[in-house]
Amino acid sequence: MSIIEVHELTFVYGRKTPFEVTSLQDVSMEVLEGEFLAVAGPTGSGKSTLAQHFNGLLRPTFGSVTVLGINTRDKRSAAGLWEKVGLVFQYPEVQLFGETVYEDIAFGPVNTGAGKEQVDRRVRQAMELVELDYHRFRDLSPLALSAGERRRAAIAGVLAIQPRILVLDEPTAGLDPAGRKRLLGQIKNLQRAFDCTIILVTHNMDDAARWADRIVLLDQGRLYRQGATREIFNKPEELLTIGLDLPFPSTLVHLLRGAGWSIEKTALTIDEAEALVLKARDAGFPSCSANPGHS
Amino acid sequence: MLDGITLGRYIPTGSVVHNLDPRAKIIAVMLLIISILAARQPITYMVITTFIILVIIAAKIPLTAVLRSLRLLWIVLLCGFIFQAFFTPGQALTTLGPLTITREGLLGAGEMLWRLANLITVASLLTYTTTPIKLTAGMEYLLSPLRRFKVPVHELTMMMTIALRFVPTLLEEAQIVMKAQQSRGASFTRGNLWRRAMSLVPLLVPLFAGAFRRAEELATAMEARCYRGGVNRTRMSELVVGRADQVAVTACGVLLIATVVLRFIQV
Repeated sequence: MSIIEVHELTFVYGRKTPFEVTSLQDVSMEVLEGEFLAVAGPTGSGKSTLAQHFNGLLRPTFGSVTVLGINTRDKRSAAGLWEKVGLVFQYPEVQLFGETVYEDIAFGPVNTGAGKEQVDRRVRQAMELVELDYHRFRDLSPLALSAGERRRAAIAGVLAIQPRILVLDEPTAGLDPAGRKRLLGQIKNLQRAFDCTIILVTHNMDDAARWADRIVLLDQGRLYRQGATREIFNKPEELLTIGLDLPFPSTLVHLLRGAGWSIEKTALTIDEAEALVLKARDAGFPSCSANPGHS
Repeated sequence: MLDGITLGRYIPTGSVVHNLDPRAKIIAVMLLIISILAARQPITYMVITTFIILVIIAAKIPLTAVLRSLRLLWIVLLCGFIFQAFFTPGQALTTLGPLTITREGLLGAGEMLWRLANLITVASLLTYTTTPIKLTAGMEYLLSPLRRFKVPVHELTMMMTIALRFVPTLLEEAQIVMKAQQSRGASFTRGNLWRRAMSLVPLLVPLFAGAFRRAEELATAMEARCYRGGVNRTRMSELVVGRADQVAVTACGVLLIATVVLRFIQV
């Protein structure tokens, strides 16, 4: 069942000024309930603009966006959407303002009108989800944290609202590979544990391949492709033409296929790639006798 | 809320006006401002406004942008108009309760409205057609005689350059932080005055923190390039006065002289 429906969305920044820019054009897509969707595309393809339509921050210039049955054009009902659709901006740590980590994370839940006890419980839960120790961090100033911890504290501030849909705009920008994997693993857990719908905005195709069920590809403000992750990576040429990379395992398989190996499928993870390569070798193709160094 | 602010933003169109020397443009604008203030007869009003419209057309600035910048200040314009219209003694036209609109008041108000609108347009034309860097370079040159009186002209104009440079950056950042806090349920327009003031905390704290961070980064970057004050500093592109600049300044000068002469000849 689709939880967000985007119909022929066109969005123009600075309409009727000399700085007018069309950021999205005729985009139609949907988000299914409970899925992990990646919105991918090169820089300037309109990913972030699309993300801000999901909780009603931006309203369509033309077309419509329906979230949980609410048309975001309807100002009054769209005003409450922030409780249902959590939006984590790029570099969310710049929005930290509380004197303590606790105060900052509690900002969202307090705004929902929750009672003191419930706020307390939500803050604990959110901190647990992003693996920040409650007792150690609650009274620290956000400025005293490391960059990675600040990022996670800021994300906890959105998780504490307990939204049904979570939209993350490049949440791993500027993190090291270990931090990236850890953060996205936490988000995947969240999807499983709470039946959350996750929308991940990214241009990192390794992340998209590893975590997403489905991918929506944007290019220059237009919808380029949408489909299951495996389908998308099965056609590497399409990705390369709009300037996106393939994830490493798919590249490997793609290159081997180009070199004459008979591999039908694509691989999304290293383990899959390994299995495919071994299988192709065992099938005796290409003839390994050409290289006596290999057995 | 902060969307579409065009007041004073540079609009690149590459026109003749854009390519004028900034010093010439500053002087021309000064001359125009004095003309606007000195004008007294309807005929001069018309000539000056026509001249300004011609400059707008030559600069290829869309007329809508100019009107927009006027719209932002319409409250100021309206208040001025009302005060003038009501509180000038003279021949009464109509009365509204205890207030009387006078003929002199109405004429004076119209005059003031014209002056303000033209002043704003001329000033914004300067910033529409001149990059901040060129503008401050021109200012520095024109103010350089003040160095003799120990005025730190270079430092002052450098501060202006930096301030102008960061206006759009900070506006953009304010917009992002505002959206981020709105996504966590912040409302900047709800509640009484105290609550509204308090609701600005989640916006201002990150904004100030960001401004300080940027200032520090910029200082480091400047130091890394061995920047030190204005002594013997040269420019990447020297300012050159050309034929067009002379024409522009002369035209504005003639306009000013004509305005002043007319002011004293006719009554």
